[in-house]
Amino acid sequence: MHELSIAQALVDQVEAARQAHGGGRVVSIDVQIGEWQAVVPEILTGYFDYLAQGTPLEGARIFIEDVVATARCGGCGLVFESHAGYLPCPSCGSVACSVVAGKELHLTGVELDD
Amino acid sequence: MKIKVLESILAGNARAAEEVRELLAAERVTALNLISGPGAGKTSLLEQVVPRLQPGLRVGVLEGDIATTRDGERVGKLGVPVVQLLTNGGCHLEAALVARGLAELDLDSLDLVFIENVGNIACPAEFDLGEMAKVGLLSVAEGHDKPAKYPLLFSELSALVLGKMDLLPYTDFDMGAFESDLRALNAAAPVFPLSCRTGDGVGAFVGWIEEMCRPQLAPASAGGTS
Repeated sequence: MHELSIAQALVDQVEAARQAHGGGRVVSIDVQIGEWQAVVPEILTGYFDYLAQGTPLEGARIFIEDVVATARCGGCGLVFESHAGYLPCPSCGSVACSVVAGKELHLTGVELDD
Repeated sequence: MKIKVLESILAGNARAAEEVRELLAAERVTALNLISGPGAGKTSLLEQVVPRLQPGLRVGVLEGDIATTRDGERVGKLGVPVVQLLTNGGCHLEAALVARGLAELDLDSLDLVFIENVGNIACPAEFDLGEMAKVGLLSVAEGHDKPAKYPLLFSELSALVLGKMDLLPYTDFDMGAFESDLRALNAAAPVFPLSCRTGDGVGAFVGWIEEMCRPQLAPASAGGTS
């Protein structure tokens, strides 16, 4: 269900970007979704299409980039995939690791038709 | 025309959360965002914890639910101010709704606000409410595999209550696997095993809450000279 809130926020954000760049119709948008966000792409696009009906966003294609959960070790510098956890570092055992990717929920691009 | 953007889709919520955070800081009120699955025992936990925090701390509750005011009525019996937040289908609380709830509380007369989120351990993790800390509640009946399955929430918790410990002998909950999965996501959060039925372990969690609130409390007027 959180996809509905996210889709509404996305529609608002795309509309703001569209107006800031002189209007026109929205052809496509680019979205990044991190692995840890538990967002189902089909549900998100379904809600987006629904909310976009009758607006200049109607029919926009949504390109979703899935971002793999990744962490970096502050000890040895190793960057590694961290699907269900990121501690300790698989190489040196340090717990001074930080998440570098996987929490994204970003709008990265909007394509307009003029 | 292609426009490059790089903004969090939840930036609107993040801005609202920042306003909540500033309001709470100005009012010297600590807010804890209590997150668990449905039936884990959030409301029972409040029923145990709130009476033990009083009268040292003045407590208010924002009670999030999809529908019904049943939990709000239960918490209301504790004699503390309660505002029921109904999401009408929404699976999580958002900062704007919390701001509206806080506006209904007299923050001048409170030290601590519990924000009882909607029962769900996936969606609430994504929405900053402006709280000082997220507190998770997992009951042993739900199984030890939850941290690995919901990494975002468990990575962001400041404390985790492990509830329904009185049921532990009747479950297959593997404490070693649980701790190892949790520590793969969160090195620092203390874990408070407790039972709301027996009261065992509740005191330690109450002590943690008191420590969280202490820095925000106004200097004791008893020691003042002016």
